[in-house]
Amino acid sequence: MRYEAALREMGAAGSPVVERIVARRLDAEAVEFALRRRGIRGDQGGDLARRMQILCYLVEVQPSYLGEFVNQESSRGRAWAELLGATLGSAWKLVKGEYLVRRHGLV
Amino acid sequence: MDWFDLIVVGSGPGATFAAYGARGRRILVLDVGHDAPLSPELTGNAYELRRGKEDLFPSLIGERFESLRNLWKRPISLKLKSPYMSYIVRDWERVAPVASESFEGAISLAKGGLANAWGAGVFRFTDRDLGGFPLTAAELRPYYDEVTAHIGVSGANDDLAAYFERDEGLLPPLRLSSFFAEMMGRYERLRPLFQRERMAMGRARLAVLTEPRNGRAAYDYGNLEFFKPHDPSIYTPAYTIDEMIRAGAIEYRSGHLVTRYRETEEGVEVHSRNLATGATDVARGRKLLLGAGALNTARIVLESNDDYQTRLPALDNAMACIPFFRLRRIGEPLAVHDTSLAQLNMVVEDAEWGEPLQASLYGTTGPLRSDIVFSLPLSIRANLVWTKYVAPAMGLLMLFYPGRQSSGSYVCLRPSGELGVQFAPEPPHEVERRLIRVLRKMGYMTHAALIQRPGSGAGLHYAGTLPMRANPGLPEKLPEKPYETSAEGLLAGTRGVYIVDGACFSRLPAKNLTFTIMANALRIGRGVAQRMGQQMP
Repeated sequence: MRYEAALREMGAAGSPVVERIVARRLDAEAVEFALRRRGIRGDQGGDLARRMQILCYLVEVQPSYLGEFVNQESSRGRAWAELLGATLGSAWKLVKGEYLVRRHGLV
Repeated sequence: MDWFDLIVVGSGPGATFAAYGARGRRILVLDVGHDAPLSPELTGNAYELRRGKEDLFPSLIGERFESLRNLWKRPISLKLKSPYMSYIVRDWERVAPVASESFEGAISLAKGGLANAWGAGVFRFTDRDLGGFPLTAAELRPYYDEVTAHIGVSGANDDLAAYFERDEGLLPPLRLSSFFAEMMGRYERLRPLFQRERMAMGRARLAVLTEPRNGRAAYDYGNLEFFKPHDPSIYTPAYTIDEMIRAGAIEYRSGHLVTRYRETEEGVEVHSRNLATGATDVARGRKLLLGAGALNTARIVLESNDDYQTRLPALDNAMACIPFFRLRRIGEPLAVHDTSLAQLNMVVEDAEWGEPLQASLYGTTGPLRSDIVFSLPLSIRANLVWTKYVAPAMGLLMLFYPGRQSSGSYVCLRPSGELGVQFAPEPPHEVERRLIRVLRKMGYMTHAALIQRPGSGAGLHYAGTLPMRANPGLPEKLPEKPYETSAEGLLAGTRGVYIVDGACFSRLPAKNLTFTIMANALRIGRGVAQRMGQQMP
């Protein structure tokens, strides 16, 4: 509800790219990352990034998600392991996103 | 018709302390004066509140999604966009518009002005800083002392006292977070390195109470500076305005946007737009003290002269933000009982600039992670993991450059009523690499590629539009330079219009100017009131 209200507040119209991603159940994180790396703004890619950023804000202020944003306990080994995993995962997302962008003609 | 000794325009640091200095006179303060909303649910510690069960969406994001504004509007400081803080910049784009594509600053029409969200950094100007002013540090010192006693300043007379001047009225400094306590310890061990590099580090001086004072509580490390207005421990001029209203020292009329003035035989007429009715109101008095902020004060002066041609000079502190990391701290829990105010300051002597540059050092506990997560170079989930684990191991060094006089930095008035504002961008300087080298020698990881440069006007330290000069043209004569002010703050070519905000600064060193605006306005306001006492009404 708040997500939709935020889109209305920003005057965000429907985005063909977002509609295609939803209809084809594509990996939105991978597509957004690929578009962001290409520096694509506006309806083609910026709108997807903006929608994901809105979700990020809305989730961050919910108490149950605090642990996703704030490290609350000392955990050096786990931190480095997660950082390594996230970085490698990010590289994979980029490869996947590039493929999806080309395969589905998202630019 | 009401008649006042003094009409003061605005309620920021300049207007407030000019009125404070002139107490005893019949004073009218005209102001738009948006007031801070009540935020009773934001009490305690930001992170403990976020751990609780209460839905903080209205306080942290806002029913009108205020915290998301940078996603679709011209970006502004993170401190000015949360739901309870956004009143500080409410309406200015509509009521006092700026026509500039590149301007990323803001104008405040709130009671207390932009100082409602200032970093509370307190810096005395030295004689070197005052080069170009028709004033010396010794002349300003008693006013600095009086402001210190009034607002409460915490800090220490440490290695930075040579740059910030000694202050015997300081409260104890804020407690350092463990990150910055470690950094200070490293500085003390590496002092010879800093001396060779002509740098120094010390505790931040802040207009923040570390002990209760005059009914105001001490700082509680609640980490709510980005979300909660009017923490009683952090000074804002709105407190002094409210005190003066309660004491009957001023008549305060909010909802009035001053547009122009006109000098008459008896004194001065001040025209303002009543924002509730749209009508033009006229107030009359003997003298006018303009303290609407350097940009809006320039607007009023140009409008009063029907001048749509002149480009007035404009100054702001350009900034470079250098993140730095202590890798060993990755994986530590975030220090939730902390502050997002500056914890340390650094001063760098720099041959290129020929004057000291100043940097303020901050932790990263204040803003929402969503404000920064998309500026990192990985996928969203990876960026979230990085911000979560790296934030406790990270500091931000905000380097301030002196304001530079340049044909590319100016203010002008358009016939449409919009203000044209331009600040020339500051390119990277060698001093940034010097700082990076020293941070690395201290054991911190950083790189020039990580430096962020806030946009044009984002420093919010506007000054110098109507600069003070030793001889700007006497009022009895036709002034050669009508947009300068005298040492007493008198605008050239006028008999009774005084400039009391940053507009009258002759130059802008690499220091927050707010404290000096307060001291200088106190000096000007008191001087005007005293000289009026020597004249027949």
